Amino acid sequence: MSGGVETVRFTLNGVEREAPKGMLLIDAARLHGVDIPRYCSHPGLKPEGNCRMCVVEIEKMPKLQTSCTTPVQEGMVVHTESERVLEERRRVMEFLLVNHPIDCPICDQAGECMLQEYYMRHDLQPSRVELEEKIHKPKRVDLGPLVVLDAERCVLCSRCVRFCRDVAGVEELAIKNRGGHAEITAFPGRRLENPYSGNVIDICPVGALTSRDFRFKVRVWFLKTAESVCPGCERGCSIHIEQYQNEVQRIRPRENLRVNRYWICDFGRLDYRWINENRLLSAEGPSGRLRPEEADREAARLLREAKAPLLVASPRMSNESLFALRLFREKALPEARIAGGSFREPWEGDAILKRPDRNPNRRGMETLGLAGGPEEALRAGPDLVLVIENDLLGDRPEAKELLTGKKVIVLASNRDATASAAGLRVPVATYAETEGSWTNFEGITQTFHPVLRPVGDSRSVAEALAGIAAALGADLGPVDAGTLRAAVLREAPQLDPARGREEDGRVG
Amino acid sequence: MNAPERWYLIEVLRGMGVSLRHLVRNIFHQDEMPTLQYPEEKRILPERFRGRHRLMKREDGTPRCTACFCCQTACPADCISIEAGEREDGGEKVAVRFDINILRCVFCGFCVEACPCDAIRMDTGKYELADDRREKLIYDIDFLLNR
Ligand code: SF4
Ligand code: SF4
Ligand code: SF4
Ligand code: SF4
Ligand code: FES
Repeated sequence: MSGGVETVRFTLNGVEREAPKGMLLIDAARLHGVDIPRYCSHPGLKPEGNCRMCVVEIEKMPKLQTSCTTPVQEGMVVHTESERVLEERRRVMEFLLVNHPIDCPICDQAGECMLQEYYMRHDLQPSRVELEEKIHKPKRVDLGPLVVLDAERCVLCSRCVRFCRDVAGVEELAIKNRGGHAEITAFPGRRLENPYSGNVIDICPVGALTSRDFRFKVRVWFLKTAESVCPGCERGCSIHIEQYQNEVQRIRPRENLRVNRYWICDFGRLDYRWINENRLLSAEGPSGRLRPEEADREAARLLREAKAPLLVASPRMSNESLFALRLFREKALPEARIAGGSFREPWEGDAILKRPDRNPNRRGMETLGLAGGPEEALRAGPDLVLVIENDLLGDRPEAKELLTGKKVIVLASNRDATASAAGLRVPVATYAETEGSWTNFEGITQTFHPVLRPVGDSRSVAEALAGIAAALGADLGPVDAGTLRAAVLREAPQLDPARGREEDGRVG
Repeated sequence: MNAPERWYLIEVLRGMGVSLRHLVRNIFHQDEMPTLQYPEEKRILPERFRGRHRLMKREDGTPRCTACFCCQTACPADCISIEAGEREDGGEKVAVRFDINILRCVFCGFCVEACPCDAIRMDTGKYELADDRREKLIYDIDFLLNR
């Protein structure tokens, strides 16, 4: 504890500890590796203290206290594992499970359910309630476009209600009825349809809120996860990409207090199907499929023959790919013009996360000196255009004349409109298959890591460029992400992913 | 190796002698012969013999399997593949595809142990699983439910 933060000393399970003044006990304990079980408390939501799972014993206080609502005080003596606390947890568990259905084989939350985990850790007792006595509630409620509710499984922690009210800023959910009959519901005439609604699926500690998109697709224990960044907009929210059988199955937010806190928007959550579908699997020229070496030779021939070639960079490319493109021009094609920019029309941003610019790396592209409006450059009359990860015809069909009469080579991951119209298309890997970094509008650089094997013949953009350069007789040197990043940082140290990370110590 | 062993013909003759001894013995003591007249005669299997799998149905005839994937998770041979789907008649989940690749199965019974719904059993006592095409040895959900 340093840097002017006032700290207090307290005793946690017999050991003297320090914590910042005013911190909630549940967080102060976690700071020292003591995990207090919880349902209703979530670091992104205001404390409420309704589930009673987090109770602890504090000396000189006659009753047990909820650690999620009690700030740590100087000299406090806290026990989180005393017999009295453990007994209380068992009782809370039993209470929560009174009407809970035995649904684990069906429930999508199995494997990441806090009821399962705490039951194994604290309870392990048979139920004293007869199966027939359980109160039944609706099982498959259509709560909104993304979310399906199973009211029987809900533990009434109200996280979802508080998320809508406090984070998304809309009153869409509420708890109706009392006691054993209480259940989550949308307000009459309303649905859970705010643009951040998917987050309630992640924060629901049990399987009451499930994702219509992911429901029953894969069991979570089969998923493999990688840390990644959302390509949806300039914010670049931190995400987890999860794959099974080399297909993306689900995207979840990753905690990053500097960028997106705990959330992502619904667009970002669903922005993955293009990684699985409609992929360009091999290079294709006018005469059909080409092997990678043939494609490199064909691209080199076209580039060599061109009088005024134009290279178009995109703010969807990683800093590493952008640097490789610059190297490519320097070493292989010094006479070519180079321009950067997106053809994607902006959308409406909001005050929560979404930014108008729908490209994840505009800032990085500008920092690397590649901005400059591809449309003007296209109007300036090049006879050949090399387009990388940019879909002019798909994103702005009315700008079709910009490409007419020009030879077009594209490096694309998908068979999009521009790729389909191009004379030569070379497959490249998506961000989910490669390593790289993007710099968001605030100048925060984050890295993404591969979670899939590249499909078909696709290579990273840098590898594809190196291949074409080699066919042109130039050597780009090693083009792995690490080497390129080191080169980027020599020139633009502000693009370092490690910069500013120590500020709050918990982001990646 | 000693000298007579090096002459393999001698060893062959000795081996044929062993066979002859058994043959003569079996001719005179047919009741003690260890072989069965398969397929007319079949061995009586213990009750817990792990035969070919079957999928169970509930009383109303719907499959018991809720596609929980526990069997697929437990299977060491990776021979079960399941696809889950939404059930139309109620809030539940059901397997829309359930394949067992019996060519890979090692008949360990882990799938049966793992199932929380008693939906898969190996109590059919069937062990004659030969077939003439590989595809026929990937048992699908219809086969497993009805045979
Ligand atoms: S639906 Fe989930 S998040 Fe909402 S109150 Fe119930 S358990 Fe909590
Ligand atoms: S706000 Fe932007 S970066 Fe964040 S999830 Fe949505 S689209 Fe992705
Ligand atoms: S018996 Fe064993 S190997 Fe065969 S399907 Fe079941 S778990 Fe797999
Ligand atoms: S373990 Fe049982 S219920 Fe689960 S998928 Fe296998 S057969 Fe179906
Ligand atoms: S986590 Fe503290 S009362 Fe719910």
